[in-house]
Amino acid sequence: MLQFINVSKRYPSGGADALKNVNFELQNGEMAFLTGHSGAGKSTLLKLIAVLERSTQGQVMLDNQNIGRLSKRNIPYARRKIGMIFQDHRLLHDHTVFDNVALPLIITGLDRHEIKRRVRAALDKVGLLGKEQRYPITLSGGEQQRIGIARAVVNRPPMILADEPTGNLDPALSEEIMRLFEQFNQVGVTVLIASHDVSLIQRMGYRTLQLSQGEMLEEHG
Amino acid sequence: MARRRSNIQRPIRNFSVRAYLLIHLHTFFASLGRFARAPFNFMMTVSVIAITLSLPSGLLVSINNLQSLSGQIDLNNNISIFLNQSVTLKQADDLSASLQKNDKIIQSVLINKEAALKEFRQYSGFSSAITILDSNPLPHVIQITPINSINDQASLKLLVNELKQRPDIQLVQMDMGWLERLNGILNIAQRGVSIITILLGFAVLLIVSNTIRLELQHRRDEIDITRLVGATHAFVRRPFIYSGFWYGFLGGILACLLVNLSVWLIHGPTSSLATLYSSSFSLEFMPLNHALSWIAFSVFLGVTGSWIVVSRYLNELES
Repeated sequence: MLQFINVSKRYPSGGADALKNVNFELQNGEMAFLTGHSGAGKSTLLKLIAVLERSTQGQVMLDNQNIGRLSKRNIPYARRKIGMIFQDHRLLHDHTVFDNVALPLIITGLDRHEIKRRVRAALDKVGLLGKEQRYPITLSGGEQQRIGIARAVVNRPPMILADEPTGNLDPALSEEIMRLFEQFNQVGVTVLIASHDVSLIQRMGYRTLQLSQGEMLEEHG
Repeated sequence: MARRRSNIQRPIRNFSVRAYLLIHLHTFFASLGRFARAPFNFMMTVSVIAITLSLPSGLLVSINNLQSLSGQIDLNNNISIFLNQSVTLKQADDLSASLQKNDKIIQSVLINKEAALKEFRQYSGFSSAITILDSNPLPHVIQITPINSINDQASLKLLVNELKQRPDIQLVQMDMGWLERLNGILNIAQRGVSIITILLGFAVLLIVSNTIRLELQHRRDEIDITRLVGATHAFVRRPFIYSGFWYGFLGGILACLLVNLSVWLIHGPTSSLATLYSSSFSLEFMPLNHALSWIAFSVFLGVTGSWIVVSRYLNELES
């Protein structure tokens, strides 16, 4: 599903390499954690997968396709294969919960009824059914993160990327969110979660990729 | 290395023309809705565009009016020959008759100075002043219409010079002279309007670009999020193109309204002035096809301005 081959990333502003010669592979349907201190390169690695940045060296393969070499025209279509979740949720605060979750479907030009059906299904999965017409700001932090998750899965992408999805949540809520990812993984979605919550990661017991100063140190799990 | 395109999922399968049109329709009205929420800002930009465009379009209306004014004047290329005061009616009549025989002249008409005075007294409004005069100050005038008057300027000049040398002729005046000069001035003015139109067109382009740029900054988060979930540039660009459209469209309409309002305001005074000159001239409003052209031009500027700014912005984001 996802493969990094000798990937290095150096930002044009100079300084050290954000990623140094990173190699790893995620199988289709696999779930893994990406861990490391802040500044270790976790976000850079996720940005390369979402084509928000391009690698300086090496290849990032998604579905056997070198996404680092995609033309600008084709980048959006590659992104539709990935559901992204952020620590700060990245929600549109002047839009309702429904509109937020529907966004990935609206951009594909899907039929309205189909959009409605799929949004309700996604909200049902994250336990927010009935709150479609609320605005994100009126919901709790955990619920806002669930909106983000519903948005990430609503167009049924084969892969989910989460960048510190539990960063602002208390342990109980964090675990709930992680179990939610687990459920998506159980239906075949490849999941990669960047997190520095070591104890939670250990409790979950999945494969862990560790980054330190841009280098992939070890894989265990 | 060859790019693999085969497994890029283009939305063709789910794609329907109806859904596509619905997106457009939705964006179209959504952009209006945004304006409705900030009507003051919106109207300010529209007004600036309107005022900017009303200058060249207003000038064009003025020139068109002056041209139609000069067009009302009889366009045959008459030459007026003013005879000396000492020339009697008989001599004048003979001269007119001899001119009539000239093959360069189609028609020769003698204007009797007594008749001319009577007419002048009737129409000029100076009748009481004229009554005071002891004698008729007007000379006999012969008005001739030369052949090929407009095409053959050289032979026309030759004829005029010939006439000027006669001792009984005081003045030979070509009626068309001032009209040609007026038309010359109007041609220059028209060229000037073209230049002003280009310059102010650029100004409108910059106004729209700048407004859209501010809107882009304002909605930066929304754009980033939309891009993250896989929106194409076209999708992100669309609402801003519609914003540009509305700015141009309403700005153009308002510009035409402003010009016609100005014409209407000076319409009354101009008509009464024209009556004083016993002319039926009245100011013309902007013709409908001109108005439509100006609105189309304005829409073009609005759409182009926003297109340039949004495309630049998106290209900078996507490395």
